Amino acid sequence: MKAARPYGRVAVLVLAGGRGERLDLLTTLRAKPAVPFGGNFRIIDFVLSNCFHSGLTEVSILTQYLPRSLEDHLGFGRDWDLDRREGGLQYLHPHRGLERSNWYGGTANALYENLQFLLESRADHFLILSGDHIYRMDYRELVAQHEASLMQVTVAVRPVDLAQAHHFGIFETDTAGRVVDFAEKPARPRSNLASMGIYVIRRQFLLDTLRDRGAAEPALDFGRDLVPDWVAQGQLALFNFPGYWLDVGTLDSYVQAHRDLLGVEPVFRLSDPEWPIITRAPQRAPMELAHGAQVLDSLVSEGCHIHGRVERSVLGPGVRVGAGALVRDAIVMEDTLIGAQCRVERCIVDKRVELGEGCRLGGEGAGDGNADKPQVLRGGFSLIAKDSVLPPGWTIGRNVRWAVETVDAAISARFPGQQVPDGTSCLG
Amino acid sequence: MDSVLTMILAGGSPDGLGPLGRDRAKTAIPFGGRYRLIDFSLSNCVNSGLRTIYILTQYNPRSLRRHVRLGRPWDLDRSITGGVRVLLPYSGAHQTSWYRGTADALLQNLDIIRRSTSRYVLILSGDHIYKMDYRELFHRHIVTGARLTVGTRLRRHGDEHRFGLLDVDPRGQVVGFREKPGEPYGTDASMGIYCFEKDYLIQGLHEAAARGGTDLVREVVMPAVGRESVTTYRFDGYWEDVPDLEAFYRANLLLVDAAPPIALDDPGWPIYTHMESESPTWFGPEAEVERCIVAAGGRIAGRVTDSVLFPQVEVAPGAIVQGAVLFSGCKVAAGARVHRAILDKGVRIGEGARVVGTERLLVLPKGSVVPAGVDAATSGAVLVRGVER
Repeated sequence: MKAARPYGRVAVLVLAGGRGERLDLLTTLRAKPAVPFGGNFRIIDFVLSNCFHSGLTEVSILTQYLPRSLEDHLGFGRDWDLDRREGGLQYLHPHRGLERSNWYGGTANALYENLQFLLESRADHFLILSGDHIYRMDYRELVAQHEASLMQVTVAVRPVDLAQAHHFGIFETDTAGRVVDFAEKPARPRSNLASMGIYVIRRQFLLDTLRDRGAAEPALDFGRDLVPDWVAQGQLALFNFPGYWLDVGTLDSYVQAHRDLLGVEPVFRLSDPEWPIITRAPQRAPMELAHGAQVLDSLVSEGCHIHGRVERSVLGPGVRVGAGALVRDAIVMEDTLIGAQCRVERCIVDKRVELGEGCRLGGEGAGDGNADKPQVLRGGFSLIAKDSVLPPGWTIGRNVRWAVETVDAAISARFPGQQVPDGTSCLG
Repeated sequence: MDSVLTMILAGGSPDGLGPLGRDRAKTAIPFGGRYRLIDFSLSNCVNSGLRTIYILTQYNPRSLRRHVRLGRPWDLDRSITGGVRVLLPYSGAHQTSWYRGTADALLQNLDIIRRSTSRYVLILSGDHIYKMDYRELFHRHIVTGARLTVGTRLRRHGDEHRFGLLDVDPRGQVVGFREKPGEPYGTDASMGIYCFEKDYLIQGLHEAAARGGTDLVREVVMPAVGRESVTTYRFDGYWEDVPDLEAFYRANLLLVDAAPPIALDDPGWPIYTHMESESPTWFGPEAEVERCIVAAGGRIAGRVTDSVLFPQVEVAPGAIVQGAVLFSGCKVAAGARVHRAILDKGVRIGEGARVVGTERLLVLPKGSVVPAGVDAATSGAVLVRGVER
């Protein structure tokens, strides 16, 4: 016998196909939801953990861009108890068929391309989530409000800083809280109620919408195309979410989200016994803090070996910090080796990077941004790509993009004195 | 190694381990920040290519079973061949009794041994800390053509009270075996590791049963010496059988040495264990943590040196933890001091409290509470939740 549900059956659709271009070198080899986050997590863990804690067990992941690393991480969903006889985890990847063979052209188009799957689903509501947001939310509250409201669509919203509102889809409400207007990334926002990209939609309404518009609009997008219409038709209600939420769409927000995890009273607390974030737990030994180690206001994962000093940083599993090294305001991912006497400041260092002894990376201040990608790197942080190396004694400045697996003669010649100046991109 | 069936005797009494063994089998006692004692034998098995493993136990099996589950952490959740299973005494048509000894435990599960297609049976203890490639022992068993091969190490001072001692001739043949003789004897001490030819083991168990004997060493191993070809495989690596609290404490603290005798983080010989999802450990802005092994999920803001911290330990600013072993979920409040102590799961140390061991280690049972300002060594005010003190 099954326990009674507090509401109708809900199928979750997680949009995880985006390229995440503004995360630059972090997403050259993986989809944005598979980007490591907070030491031993991946970004998608937050949404899947929310599903787990909300008792949602039918979860489909819509992939398109570089899905392998994501699939390696999620597997059959066993770590989230999603390997089930009924429901559970499944991947919806673009595929060829008799009638259609299309890549996903937009968020709603991705669902349209899986119309048959939605038709076969027995869900009463579809919960549509983005796979790249950091937050803790009980979706049961959202769905309960949605059911009670009798509206066709409910969108989760939260207040954002008005100065940042132009990055979001912004809703305007009347004094009674009813939605009167919506604008996607408005130049002059008239409110600070931002869409979180989380939608609950009644089954028939979503199917009808996709059937009506899907064929003619191959780039159909929720925020751009559908939400404005639903607002105009009065079909859409808002669900106010007061908690922490961050879309890690840019390197700036990626760094910000990590900063939010630190401090005595962190803005967002990673470990919460009531709502733990679940991930695929790799087998690691506990971390070792050796003689001479100093670790201050930092998050350190298992398998790390720390001989040097670490400040305000987040270290993934298996990172080694050599004796006399200093790691400050940095995000360092799995199995990276930081040689003795290195100084790594304000850097994002991806997995399995090897920094030789006495290297110096990054520094204080914003600098002038990256010469090739000023929009991507402008705050001073430097980005070291997965599997890169840096020979002993080299120096890397600020706003540098470094993706070099072997330092050959040409690269050595390009940087006399083994100095990589501020703003350089070297993708060897 | 498919021709070897492994039986792990996990009934070892946790007598010497005081409160740590009150609610758990010795094999399930936590060790090294993340592990249970059984992890070492099980990981040795997997790393040695042994895939069919039975764990025989009857003492407080719940925590062991919860830990081993279906063997997934060791890749032993098999569909077709092998796997791991915990065998408890059960009541059946012919007999109903607890395991009365090691030989009796094997005898009660004789059908498993008999039906197995393996030609050899490897018998291990589940509560020793060591890294051993059983293939080497097995190889020696095969090349010597022995009926029985015993895993041993060089005899040391004091072994006569605790181990079976073997007299081994220069060819490696066992010519004498005395169980805990109380006086020095022979050259080697038994590690409780036996590789038998299966048919010989079955015959030995039957003979023991006919005599009413229940102990494997006395009734099967010792009678074989002199009668059959019994050889040894001498192991010279680190091996700790954790007889008492002091040994347990020392084995933990050895891990924080610059060159520990047993590396937990060795990709060539990983120690597998059951792991839950855990966040990284946060170290506070004034934390001073050196020479420590720390598991995930913690919040460490005070001073911690020469210690082993299990998952989800919290040490408040101003607290000092020195030379201590803190099991998962322990919380040490501001200004408290913990020294030469073992804190079992979920122990709470109040503000300014003192838990300072002397020559005698201080061991606080699971869930104990030391109220603020109290000295645990001298005061009776240590509250133990759930169990009689």
